[in-house]
This record gives sequence, structure tokens and C-alpha cells, in this order.
Amino acid sequence: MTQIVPSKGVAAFRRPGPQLSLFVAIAMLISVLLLIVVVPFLPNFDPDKQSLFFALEPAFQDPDYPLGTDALGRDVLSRLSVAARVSVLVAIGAVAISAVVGLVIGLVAGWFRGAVDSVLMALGNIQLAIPVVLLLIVLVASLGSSPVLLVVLLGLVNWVGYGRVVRAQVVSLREREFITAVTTAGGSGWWIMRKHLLPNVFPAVLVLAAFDVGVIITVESSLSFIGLGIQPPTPSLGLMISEGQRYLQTNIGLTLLPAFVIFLLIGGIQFASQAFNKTSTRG
Amino acid sequence: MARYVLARIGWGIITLLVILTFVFFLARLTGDPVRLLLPDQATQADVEAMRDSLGLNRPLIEQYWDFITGALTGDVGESIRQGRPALELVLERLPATLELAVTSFVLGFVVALGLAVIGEVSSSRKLRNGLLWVATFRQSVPPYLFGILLILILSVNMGLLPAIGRNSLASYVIPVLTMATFEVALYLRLFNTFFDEMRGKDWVRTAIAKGVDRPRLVFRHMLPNALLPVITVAGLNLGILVGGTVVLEMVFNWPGMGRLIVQGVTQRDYPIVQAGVVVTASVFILINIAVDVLYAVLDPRVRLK
Repeated sequence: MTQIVPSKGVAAFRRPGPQLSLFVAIAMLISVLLLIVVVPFLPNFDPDKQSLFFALEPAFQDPDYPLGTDALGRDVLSRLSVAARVSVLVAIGAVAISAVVGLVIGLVAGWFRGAVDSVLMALGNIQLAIPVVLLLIVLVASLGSSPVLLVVLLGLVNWVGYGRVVRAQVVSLREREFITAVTTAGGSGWWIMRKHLLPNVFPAVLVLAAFDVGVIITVESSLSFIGLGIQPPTPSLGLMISEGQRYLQTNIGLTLLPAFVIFLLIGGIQFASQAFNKTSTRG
Repeated sequence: MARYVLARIGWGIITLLVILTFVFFLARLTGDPVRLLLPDQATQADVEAMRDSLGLNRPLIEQYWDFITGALTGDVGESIRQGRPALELVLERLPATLELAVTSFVLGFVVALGLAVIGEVSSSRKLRNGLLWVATFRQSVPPYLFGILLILILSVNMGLLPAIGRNSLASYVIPVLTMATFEVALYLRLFNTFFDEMRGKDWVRTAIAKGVDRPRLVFRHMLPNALLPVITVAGLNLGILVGGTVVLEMVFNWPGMGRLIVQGVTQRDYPIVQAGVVVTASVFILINIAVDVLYAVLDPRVRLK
């Protein structure tokens, strides 16, 4: 049976210019990048210096403290820069761990099938029965919350999505001719996984990982917000919001500024995903 | 069909057993609860006596067996701080959490469905894109943050609604609005993705070519096809929602299960945390059995596999 599929050239011709949402996403992410990279080079950069004399200054008034100071008189701009850096690094580290774990499990399950496959996928299903935030709260409560441990835990609880995607791809890839050809030529399972399956599943994992960074930033900032994530004195966006919340009536900036940075970070990724969805379902 | 349902239930029981095992061994990792129970001036002899009376000196495997058999009869131990069965304490708080989660879910799902259908029936690209932009904006703000912003605007600045607690009908507005808008955004984008995919399909083109009008095309042809995958996502999501209220309950001082669990964590009251995890998982498992059965009713291919 032949299927009539419009050629790539026709589809490309019909495709209108890049999505507006993509520009918005790039603008949002670049502003966060500037906050993280440029602010540490400013002359007054110091996230830790306290001075109660200058405590709770509002934003946009004192040129020494462009975004004001918190309850301990620390520079909000400097703290935002470090907190954003912490959030991004934690999220990237965690996503890398999830992706690697999911990739390995998915490859093994999809290639060997049978009992290994059933057990691994069943484990994933069981883990999903405990919502991620709750699972993390319980793990952090039992094992502690040093930054490194937090990254590892955030990474380990999130592998299921990757595992499923990789497994599904491997299951269909292993029936393809080029894999059969390698098997007949004497390639071992390990060789096939490394040299032939991995490069084929990698793009899908990369896309998933990129969008997952936003999810992990949300989870990490929620945990930090309730005091079970990043611990003081390390600045973190969630923690800054929970501290700022006490001054909602007097100094609104302490809540709104970290909230805006979170919005830029997560929004940047969300709008990129909106643009990506549009492009991938069209044509 | 009966076999299919039984298999789902059996799977649910296995899941619960694995989770019970997990919380049991995790509790052993948290360290000795005895020190927390006794006053600071307690002697080593007191500690040993306490360990004996709690059964902590027995072999691990024996303790594990007791825990599992106890849990299956609804006993996961007593709260260390409050001296009452932990499960009872958690179940007392479950309704407050469920009413928040379920109200927000139903409201959010219905509004999202309505908006998605309106967008598709009108076949106006502008309207669809506008809705999508609003949804993406909403998704860019984590729920706890959105809650704080609503409190800031509606309570602190305008003084319209109570910010925290669960005392009057008015106190439901901000929490439900926070979660329901998140659900609207989620399902609107989901419906949109499926509709986008379908618009190019041959059977849609055929339907248009044979003169099916727009509302009929959407309601009879596209919606039923979009509903199936959305229901699967909804099953997973509703369970996550019940757990996801944990953080929101902290924001709104909502007397639900989540706040109890976080209190349990900060006060090192581990049985409460265990009971909380087990109850949340049970809710999730029950919802998903219901979704699986619903799915099998709607789509015969599932149960024939």
C-alpha cells in the first residue's frame, strides 16, 4: 500500500515564519542569562554582606542597592543572581541524572524485553503512584537535603518519563533492518545499544530534557519555598519568596522580584515548548 | 471485562505492597525515633526499655512482617506527637485535600473542554492562539506563586477575600482559583495539541469534503478521539494533584493532608508521614483503576488485548 505524503519541499513552502512564542522564549531566557552572568561583575555585587542599617530598602531608590535589600540588609539583585544560578544548575544536574538513568533503563528494557522489561517498567509505574513532590519531601526528610543530595534525589525520582520514551523507541527500532544487519554481522547487544540505538534515541531524550528543566525548577523552588529544598545561607528563589512573603504589606518587591525571575525561567521554557509543539504538529 | 478489572485491582494491590515496603525501610534510615520520644535527661536504661516496648529490638524481618500485616488491617502505627493512630489523623484531613483537588480538577477540566471546543468550532486561528498564549502564561507561574499573587491582589490590596484558612465559602475562592486555572491551562494545551494533530488527518478532510458542518465535525468526530488520550493523562494528573496540594496547603494554611505531612516531617513524626504517603498512593491507585476501567468501557480494543 502506498501512502500519499506531501514532499518536504511543499511542507516547508507552506510553513510561515518562526513563531512569535519562540522570540518571547528567547528574550525571557536571555534576560535570566544576563542576570546570572553579568550581575556578578557589577561593582556592588555581594550576596552575603549584611547591614541592618540598610535593611528592607525598597527597589529602584538607592543606586548602591538597585533592587533594594532584604530583612538582613543583603543586596536583592546579587541574591537573585546567585539564586537563579543555583536553580538553573540544580535543575540541569537533576535532569542530566534523570536522562542518563532513564536512557540506560529504557535501552535495557527495550532491547532485552521479557522479564527485565516487565520489572523495570513496573517499577516505574509503582513509583508514579507517589506524586513527585511528596516523594521528594519524604526522601529529603529521611536522608537530608545537602545541595548535592538534592540534585541526586530530584534526578532519581524523575527517570520514568525518559525510560518510557526510550523503551518505546528501542522496541520499534530493534525490528528495523539496519539492526538486523548488525546482528547478522555479529554485533553484540552492548555494541548495538551503544553505537546504533543510543544515537537514534538521543534527540528525543534531549527534547524531553530541555522541557523538563522547567518542571524541575518548579519542583525545586516549591520544595525550597516550604523549607525542604535548598537550605540557607545559600540563596534560592523559593526561599526568597517565602521570606519575602512576610513583608507583603511593606516591601512587595521582596516577593515580586524573585517571582518574576521564576516566571522568566519557567516561562522561557514553556513558550519554547509552545513554539515547538506548533512546529512539530504542522506539515 | 471482569478479568480485566480484576487484573487492574491485583496490580493496585502489588503497587501498594511495594510502597509499604519502601516507607518501612525508609523509616529505618531516618535514625532512632526513641531519642525523640524521650525527654533529654532519659538514661540508657530508659532508652532500652522504650526500644523493647516499641519492638525495635526484634529482628528487622519480624518488624517488617508486623508492619505489613498491620498496614493491611489499617494500622500503620501511632503518631509520636499526638498519641493517636496515624492513619486516623491523616484520614481526618483527607476530605479537605480532596475537596480542593476535585473541585479544581472538575472546574478546570470543564472550562478547558469548553474553551477548546469553542476555539475549534469557531475555527478562528486568532481565538485559538489567544487562548494558547494565556494558557502558556498561566503555566509559566508555579501554583504556589500564583496563589501568593492572588492573595496579594485579592486579599492584601483589594481586601475582597480571606487569604488563608478554611472557614467560609469565600476562603475557598483563592485556593480553587489557583489550582483550577492551572488545570485549565494544562488541559487546554493538551486538547489543542490533539486537535492540531487531527486537523491535517485524512478523515477530517473527508468529513469536511462530504459537507459535515463545523459543530458536528468537532463534537462527533474530533472530540471523542481527543477525549481518550486526555482521560489517561487526567488519571495520572488527578493523583499528582492530590499530592501537589501539599505545597499549596502550606501557602493557604489549608488544614489538609499535605500540611499534616509537612508538619510530620518537621516534627520527625514519621508514622504520620508514612500514613500520608500510603493514603496518597491509595487515592492515586483507586483513581487509576477507575480510569483504566472507564477507558476499557470507552475503547473495546483495550480490554481485548
